[in-house]
Amino acid sequence: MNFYEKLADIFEEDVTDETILKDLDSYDSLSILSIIAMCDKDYHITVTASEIRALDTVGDLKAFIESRK
Amino acid sequence: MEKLYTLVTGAVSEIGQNVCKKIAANSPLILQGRDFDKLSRFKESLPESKDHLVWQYDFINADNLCFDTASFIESNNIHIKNVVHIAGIAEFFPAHLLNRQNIKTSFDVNFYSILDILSVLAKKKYKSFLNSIVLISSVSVHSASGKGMAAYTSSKAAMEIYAKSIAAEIAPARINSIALGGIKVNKNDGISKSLDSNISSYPLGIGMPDNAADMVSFLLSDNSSWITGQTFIVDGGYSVCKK
Repeated sequence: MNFYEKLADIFEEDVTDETILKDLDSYDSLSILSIIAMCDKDYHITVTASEIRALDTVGDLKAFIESRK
Repeated sequence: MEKLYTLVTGAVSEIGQNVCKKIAANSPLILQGRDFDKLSRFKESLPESKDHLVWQYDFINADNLCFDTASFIESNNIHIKNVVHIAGIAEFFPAHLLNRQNIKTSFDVNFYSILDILSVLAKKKYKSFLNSIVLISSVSVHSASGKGMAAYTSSKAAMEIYAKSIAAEIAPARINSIALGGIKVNKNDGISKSLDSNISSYPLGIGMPDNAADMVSFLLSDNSSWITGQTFIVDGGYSVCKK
């Protein structure tokens, strides 16, 4: 599964780089924890909830993960 | 006479190391874990280090665990009197992504591992050597659990009820569970950091690995000789504190 498919699984809707995270229906503490778990398990990086909350779009999230790898 | 060993699963986890240090002088240990080098180094650091054995084994997809447990006992010509099951994995899945496939790792490590091992030790041939079995569970089975923790809590719950249910069958050996609250370990992933915000819910403060080891040591000792089939909540008061 690629990055976008994983996010689509977490949020139960399709996403693109332009998707604004906070506009997603199921953007909440649970989906943020899911992203943290994804970062840990699939990308082997440690991120915090406040770092994720500070991000605007899916593209920002992708760039953030890349920058931590 | 053959030596009687205490098997410790997850021996090089932080809680595992504390438990081993506390009980190493009382009984030779079998140190189970996945990382051979780490296990070997840890073995050397223990009192009576020559007496202990290393069992490098991965419980994930361990379809031959029953056979391998028996082989380990036979090939080392030993017997097992105590088991401390510390190996555990906490995988995070929201309900809509948790299914039969991805819950398997949690059940493999947390529950099926001890199930297989005890199926061997409960056989006539080994049962008479058994004394005390201690399983590490979690307070999140008994009070509020965080979102996304269902894989972890359901596997631990299965383990606790299993222990209670076999207590009569394995007597006079004893089996008990310890439902631990948050223990301060060095693991520093994002999820652990999010959980740190819970510290104020612990009237006695966050737990130290020693708090777990003290209870394990009590349940292995003769001081608990009339206790079996129970779960003990050791959580610094977390479960009785209003969040």
